[in-house]
Amino acid sequence: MAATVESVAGITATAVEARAAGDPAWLAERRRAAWEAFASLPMPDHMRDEDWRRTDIAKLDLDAFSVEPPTTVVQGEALLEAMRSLRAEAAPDSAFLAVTRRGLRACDDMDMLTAQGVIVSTLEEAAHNHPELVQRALAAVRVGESKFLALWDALWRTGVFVYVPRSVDARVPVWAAYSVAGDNGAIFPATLAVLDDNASLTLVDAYASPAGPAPLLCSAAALMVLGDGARLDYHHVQQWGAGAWHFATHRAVLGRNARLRVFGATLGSRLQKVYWDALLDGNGSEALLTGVCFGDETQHLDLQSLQRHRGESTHSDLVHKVAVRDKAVSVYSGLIDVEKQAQHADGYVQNRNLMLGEGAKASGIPRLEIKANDVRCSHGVTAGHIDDEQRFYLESRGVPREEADRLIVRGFMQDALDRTPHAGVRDLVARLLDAEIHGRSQAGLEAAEDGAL
Amino acid sequence: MAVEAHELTKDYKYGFHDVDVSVFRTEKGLSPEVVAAISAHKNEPEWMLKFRLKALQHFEKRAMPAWGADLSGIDFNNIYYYVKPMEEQGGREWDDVPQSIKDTFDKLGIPEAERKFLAGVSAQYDSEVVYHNIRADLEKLGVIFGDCDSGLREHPEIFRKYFGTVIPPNDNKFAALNSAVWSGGSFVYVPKGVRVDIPLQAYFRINSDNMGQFERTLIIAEEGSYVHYIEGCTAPTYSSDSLHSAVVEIIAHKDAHVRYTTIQNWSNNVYNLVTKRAIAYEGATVEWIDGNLGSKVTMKYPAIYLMGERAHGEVLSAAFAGEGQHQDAGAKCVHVAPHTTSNIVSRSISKDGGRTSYRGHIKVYPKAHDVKVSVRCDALLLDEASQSDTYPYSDIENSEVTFGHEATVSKIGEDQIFYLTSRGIPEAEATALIVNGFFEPFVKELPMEYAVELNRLLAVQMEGSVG
Amino acid sequence: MSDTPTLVVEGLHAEVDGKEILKGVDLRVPSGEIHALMGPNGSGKSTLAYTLMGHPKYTVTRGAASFDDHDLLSLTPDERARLGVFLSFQYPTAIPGVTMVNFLRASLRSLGREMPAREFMQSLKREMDALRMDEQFRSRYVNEGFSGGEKKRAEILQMALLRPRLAILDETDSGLDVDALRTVAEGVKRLAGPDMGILIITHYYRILEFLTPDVVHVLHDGRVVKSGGADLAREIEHTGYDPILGVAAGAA
Repeated sequence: MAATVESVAGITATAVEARAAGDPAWLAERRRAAWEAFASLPMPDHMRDEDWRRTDIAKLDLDAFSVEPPTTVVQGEALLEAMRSLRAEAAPDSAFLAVTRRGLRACDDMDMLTAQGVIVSTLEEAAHNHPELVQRALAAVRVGESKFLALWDALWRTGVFVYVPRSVDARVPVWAAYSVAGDNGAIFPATLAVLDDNASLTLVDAYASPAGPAPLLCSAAALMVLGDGARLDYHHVQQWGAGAWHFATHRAVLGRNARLRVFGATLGSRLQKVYWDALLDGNGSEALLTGVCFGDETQHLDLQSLQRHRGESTHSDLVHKVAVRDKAVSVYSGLIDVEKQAQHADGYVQNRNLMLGEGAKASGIPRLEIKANDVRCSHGVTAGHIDDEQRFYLESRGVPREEADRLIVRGFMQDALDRTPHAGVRDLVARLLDAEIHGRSQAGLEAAEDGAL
Repeated sequence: MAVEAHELTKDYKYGFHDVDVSVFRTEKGLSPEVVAAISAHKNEPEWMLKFRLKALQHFEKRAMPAWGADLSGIDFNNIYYYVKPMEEQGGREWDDVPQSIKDTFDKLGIPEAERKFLAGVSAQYDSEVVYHNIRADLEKLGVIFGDCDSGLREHPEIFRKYFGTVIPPNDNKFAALNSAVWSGGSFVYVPKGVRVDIPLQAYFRINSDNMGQFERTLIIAEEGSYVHYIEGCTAPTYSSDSLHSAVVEIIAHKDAHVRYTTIQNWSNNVYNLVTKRAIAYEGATVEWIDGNLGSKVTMKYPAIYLMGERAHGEVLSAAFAGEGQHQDAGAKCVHVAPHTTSNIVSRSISKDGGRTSYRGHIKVYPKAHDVKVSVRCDALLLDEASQSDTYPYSDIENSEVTFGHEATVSKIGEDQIFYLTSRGIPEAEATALIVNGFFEPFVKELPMEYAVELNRLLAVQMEGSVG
Repeated sequence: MSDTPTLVVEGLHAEVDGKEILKGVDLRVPSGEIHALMGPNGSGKSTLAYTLMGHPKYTVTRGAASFDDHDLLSLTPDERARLGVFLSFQYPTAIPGVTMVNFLRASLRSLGREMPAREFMQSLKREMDALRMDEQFRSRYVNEGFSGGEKKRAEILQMALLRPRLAILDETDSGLDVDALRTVAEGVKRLAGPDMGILIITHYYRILEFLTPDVVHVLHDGRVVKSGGADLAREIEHTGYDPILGVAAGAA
């Protein structure tokens, strides 16, 4: 793992120290411990690690990436503008934070939330000003838990932090936009949210880089803690360019009667391995998770979910809709884990794969481990092609085949879209999916390359 | 048994000299010497000895599986890997047989003679007369139905052509073990176009040899033939051997149809690790009807490789796990050829802390277009202590596929119990009725006598369980 | 033990999922009489039926219910059935894999009325013919894949075989076409007599054209707010529930 020249720019101990320099002591310690763990853990291996059996990252060379943009290249603007307009399209009223490798590039429209007592800031700042709150969220990850989480734990900077006080319904959403431009960038998005009892919040993580094959590395984590009765609508839209390696963990811990809704849209990257962890610890808690994924070319898109029922009378429901064409590969692996004392649990998983091209592949591995008996859990996986009956019906009504197919694919995605908590995000993703369906890949944004971010 | 003894004596006249004919048993544990002794004792050709030794090497090299049930209780060094049939299977006394087992025999109406055999008290079951008559009929058709040892001896070309081709010794650790020390099991060959109308039952040839630990069964169905093979029985069956590692290979040629029914109810000391696999060629159908009631641990995933167009595979699996039991069963269907279909139905029940796991794998290769696969797994948990898992893997590499998998785990529906109790049926009986109904798709595929016996057995298992 | 076994419900309060549905129901249905229980949706009619039969989801919080001087509320559903109580379900539950024959025999056996196989099959055929049910229903799985009409007929078939002393019919008419309704109603009528009390729960008047009730009760918001003769049902048919409830509320 040692680079020939240890620099602040590479994924190195020096880079970790550079970040630790600005941290409060407790955080610096955590970073260093994470780095040690990262250095000693082996890279996930598709022969040895069951989780990675179908996702081979042998070609990933961590040494090739830079955590800082080159000082010689001017800072880009076009990509940031593109990120801004996405947010304007979907949630113009939202509080907006834009994060790049160099730090915070925008922080707009916080007033509404601040007036309510909601804390919105960078995670770095929050670590100084609200250490206990940040620690509450960080507690969701054990230092050294896995290679990529340890990497994140060691190298994230800036980040976004939100705290919603007791019984406050955050009036506007928080939109965190993470972007990278320029070759070989590495970014570690860190969005942490803590909702106190009966608080509510809508949160969006948007990841994007310019369209094109530029290599990019992202190891992200979004950690969310919901107090009793809290409600969180969390969305993430991944539009990294076609050269990106994307690793992310989106994890939420739910208190009693808390409700989590997650919506994730996957359109970009060369390869992704994303974890969704819904930990239903509190009695009566509920998690509704929805994913839409569109793979083209040779994309390899892997989603692994966990619905862990620990409290009583908990409910979880996951729907993951995938369309793959060309030679794209989708892997979905999920686990509904109902612990012994989690009686009256209800857990559901549906993974539906639409295969649109001869070379496309889909693997579905939804698992159940049920140790309580007064429960109802079920899962279903289907894989199929466009239904000839549906196609014929539309054609018989004068719709040409290509268009009929597009309508059918859009129809296939519709019920997942209907589950999007935030209407603006739903419409945005619908537009992106339509573009995909029309053959225009949405891996990366069409932003004129004008610099490095 | 007169016939059997005569055959054995015939062997020994030509074969073996050094060893006491009446009692032969290798020492405990596994080594090339033990394997060689087994092969010599059976007077096997050179190629089989080589096969066994190579398999042993692989067994020793290969690690224990990192997944599946807990196999830490197996002590490989404390097992006799070969016991000649003349010897009492377990030498158990009737007095030592648990009362619950005796009660079950009563309730199932098992005839006296069978009871002693099943309970491990007697080594033989005298079904020779029945077997003989059937053998005569089969011979007329050109059907071969015997044990593998004889198959190797009497039909060397066919045997060698197919043996080890469906499950090579290096397939997995336990297939390797079986390949090294296999003994007994059935050899069935059905010629082209022949339909064997009566089910062939391993039961007919039963003696401790065939109830052995390392049975090897090979079934070859030539073009257009049909055969139904049944092994095992619903009654609780005692085995002093704690490790059973069987291998079953089936080759179904063009348009052939093979149905293989298993019901196992091994005693609670047995680790039952079985590799079962079939190859289905063009237009062929293979059905695995797999019932797992007994054993301490069962790991078994009947598989069908659909190698020819329009081949069809079915797996119907039922599992019951009571106290201290782990049924880790499932199915595997691999679609290599286009226009193939498969259907898997799994039903399992856990109670009193038992654990059932469904483990399945569906793979559709890139060249396999126009494929339809359906998998349906349902599990019932009857009480708080029990556990159920489902691990279905699907890898679909062709887009012109219709694949669906669904699984549910729940307890018996409150509404169903209420409906039956509102008709005066007490809760315990209502639960038993529902359990029977739950296994009905499996039971109705069994021949009548088995179905009746199985239903009675389920009723016995359900006694004393109140939701 | 009185001469006329009677269903007596006094001040019954019951809740489901923590919500109180029955708020003090009073009702008496003697053997030999046909009573109708009507009321708008949400009034608690089905809740009453389930509570009297002992469905685990319903919790009685106050009040009493007895039949033939035996307390019902302390009995399990099968014990109530053995006492002679029968509920014809509005949505009969499917029991896959269990044939109608096996189910009926198990039920009769539990109620102490087992009979030899031949006799049973003859009885079964007789009752099925009377209800115009196809023979093949015998071997179908209980309520699985049955149409609405078939399900209701199957319920009345059970009533005919089990011969209860108190029959509660929960919306037996819902989802039936005119012919099915007539068949079912006539089936019930055949069984009615001095030894059976019948409580017909219904939203509409239709079935009562075939089965004239001796008494009609109106359930509203968890209480019986009005009782009357058969003409009360006709009145509801013409004017709907509002005027009747308005009058009742005003009188409260």
